[in-house]
Amino acid sequence: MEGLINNYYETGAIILFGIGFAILLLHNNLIKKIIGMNIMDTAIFLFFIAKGYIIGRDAPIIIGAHKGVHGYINPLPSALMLTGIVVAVSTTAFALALTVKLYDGYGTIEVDEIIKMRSD
Amino acid sequence: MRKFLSIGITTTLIIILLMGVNELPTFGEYDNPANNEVAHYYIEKATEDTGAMNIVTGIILDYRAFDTFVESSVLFTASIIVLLLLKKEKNSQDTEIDETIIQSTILKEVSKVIIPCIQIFGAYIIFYGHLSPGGGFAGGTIIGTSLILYRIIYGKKFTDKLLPYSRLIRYLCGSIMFYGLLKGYSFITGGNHLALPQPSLGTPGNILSGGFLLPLNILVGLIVAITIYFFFTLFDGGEI
Amino acid sequence: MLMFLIGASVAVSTIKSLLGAIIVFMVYSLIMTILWQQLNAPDLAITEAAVGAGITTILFILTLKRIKGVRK
Repeated sequence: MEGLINNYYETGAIILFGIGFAILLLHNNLIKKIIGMNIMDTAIFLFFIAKGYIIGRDAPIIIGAHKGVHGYINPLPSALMLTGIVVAVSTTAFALALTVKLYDGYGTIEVDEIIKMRSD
Repeated sequence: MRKFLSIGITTTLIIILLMGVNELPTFGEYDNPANNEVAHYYIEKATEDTGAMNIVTGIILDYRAFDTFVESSVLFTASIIVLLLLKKEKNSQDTEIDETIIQSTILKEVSKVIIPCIQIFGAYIIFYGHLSPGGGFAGGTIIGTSLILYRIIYGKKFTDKLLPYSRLIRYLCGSIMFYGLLKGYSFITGGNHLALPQPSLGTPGNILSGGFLLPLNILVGLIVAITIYFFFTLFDGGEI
Repeated sequence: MLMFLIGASVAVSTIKSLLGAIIVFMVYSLIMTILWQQLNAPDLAITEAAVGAGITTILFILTLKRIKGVRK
């Protein structure tokens, strides 16, 4: 159990992922589902960035003299997650455009009523 | 019934993942397996190889520039999709849906001062992307929001004379093709050790240093700004 | 900081009006920005502040206007 308390950032990220997943499954409204998907995305980014942190070292920007290898944190997870944030906003925009077209077609955005309308 | 099943599945997933987190190495130690010699190589050689003072920008625009290329194409694809779904043709039946033109003078006068300041700030973040935190994405978003502000205040007809649709699409497609050409040129000449002309590395600390970093940053910023502007205008009623 | 994040995401689930949920989501994104800065990643902080707390919220509110429903 003390592994969970020492890595509290990773534990928090997993719990946030679970809450986002539950929001995605539980609610009927389409907009809340999209909010849940976005919460899941940012929780995964938090997990990765917490893996790259080293206690007592600086951000990876060289100011003045180069401090050598043991002066900076790991720059690699930060560079990879920069792409992820942009992909997350693209997915959200696509999902919202589909929601607008669904509303134009069916008149409602509750998933239950759309399924009932289609099965008639 | 469905609620209990979904909460049950979520809790099972969380418990399994938390049992995995228990075994992870301690947070923040410097001899983690994640900090191996790849990270050491990147930290040591970033300034000599690329000429960037910001190591993260040096990684995403020189060592792993194809990741940035494919991610720009993801943004491009998203804007094309929203364009396909939500664009309305210029029919005669849409003339009664007017946009609410804001008639207040205060907004127009204040915007003449604020919008250039926002654009200068966004351009600063793009141009200094390899010397301080920022880069192409954040600067491009800031310029995009200044265009959105311009469109909100001045209405649709006035903005469409300034930023017509055909010109923006041409800039968007041209930017991403030019990015591919530049990076392909650098990749081929660098990999085969040909001695073709290339932008020089320069001294670290200047703006005009770093070879290909500055043009690539500008292109990425342009793509992001136009995409953000398209998102806003298409969600607000189809544009011309 | 993490407790606030978990509380905010639970509140997104229980608030019934859509406008309130979107505002709480914007606050969640802003706290995430501060967390990135604590973990020494300034590039990500600037990008998340511009994109998460700016563009995503604007897109949600524009969709809300298009579907003509602010459920009380």
